[in-house]
Amino acid sequence: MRPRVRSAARTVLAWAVRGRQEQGTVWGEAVLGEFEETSGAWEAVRWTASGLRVALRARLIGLFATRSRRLVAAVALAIVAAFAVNWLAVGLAYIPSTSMEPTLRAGDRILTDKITYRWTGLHRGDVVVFSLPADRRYATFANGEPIRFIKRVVGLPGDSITCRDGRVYRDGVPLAEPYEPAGSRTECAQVTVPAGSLYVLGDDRTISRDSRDFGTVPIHDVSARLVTRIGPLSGPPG
Amino acid sequence: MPRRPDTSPQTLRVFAALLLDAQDWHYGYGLAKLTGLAPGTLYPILARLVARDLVETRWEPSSHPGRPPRHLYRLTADGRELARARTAPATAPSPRLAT
Repeated sequence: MRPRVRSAARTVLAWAVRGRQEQGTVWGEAVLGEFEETSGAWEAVRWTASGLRVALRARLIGLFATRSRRLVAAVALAIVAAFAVNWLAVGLAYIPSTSMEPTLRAGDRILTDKITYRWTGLHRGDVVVFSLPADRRYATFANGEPIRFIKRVVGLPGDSITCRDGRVYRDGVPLAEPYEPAGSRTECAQVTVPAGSLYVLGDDRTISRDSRDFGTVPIHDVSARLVTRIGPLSGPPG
Repeated sequence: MPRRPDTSPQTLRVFAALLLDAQDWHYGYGLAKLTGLAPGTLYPILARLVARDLVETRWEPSSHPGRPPRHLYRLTADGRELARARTAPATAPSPRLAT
């Protein structure tokens, strides 16, 4: 057991120092050259753990990098990290239309979460970003580019959605919808939401194109959930 | 506030260790033991001192065939002077260090 720990520590350090090269940087080699002086598994592991900092820094930015080089490296790393986070975890998007008014206004910027809803599941009332399967009506713009929608989840799989007297009913119960514009009316046809799908509506029922027009949305076409509205970056207030 | 260079406690420990045998070459592992510093702290300090010609280095082939060579460090004349100046007790000891 112990010799194997030492040998693993040696392998990791050698890899960090040399990568696929025959020879690493001066300071990486200096740390590696002392590895055999350590005694026991514990000291070997500690030598490697701390030596990794030296080896990787020497390889990536130089061990005694000047302040400006370090700054460049930090900024480059931050940009890469921002892109990765934006791609994987959170998104900034721009609201081009008024169909979610008054919750979201045209010109608002929003922060979206692309991950956690996959673990927690979606709930009624969540606002989600999605696109439609390519064969659906309204799936693409005239130029063929997919349209991304942002709508509110009104029905989950198994829910029965219908409208009466301008109000939405879910499983026979009229919904309280405080997010709607005052005095708005909703007209819709009765639907039972199929498994794996969502029934979505825009908050401004008079102009929104939503499940009343294009039917229920497959859950796997959802790409993000709204976290918060950031507001317009510039432009007139309100 | 600009800090006086080469006065961090870690750097002072490295100076003190190198001054123990000021004319002799030191191994990195030995310096790590003497100073109690982890390699991640020790080597960047050595690298800065080498870059400023306060410490000189050489490589020594390992006594065991197949093992990588070892890197050795020694204070230069300038380095000895600075190390002695930095590690010398201050003429008016600061109250924090007075015991």
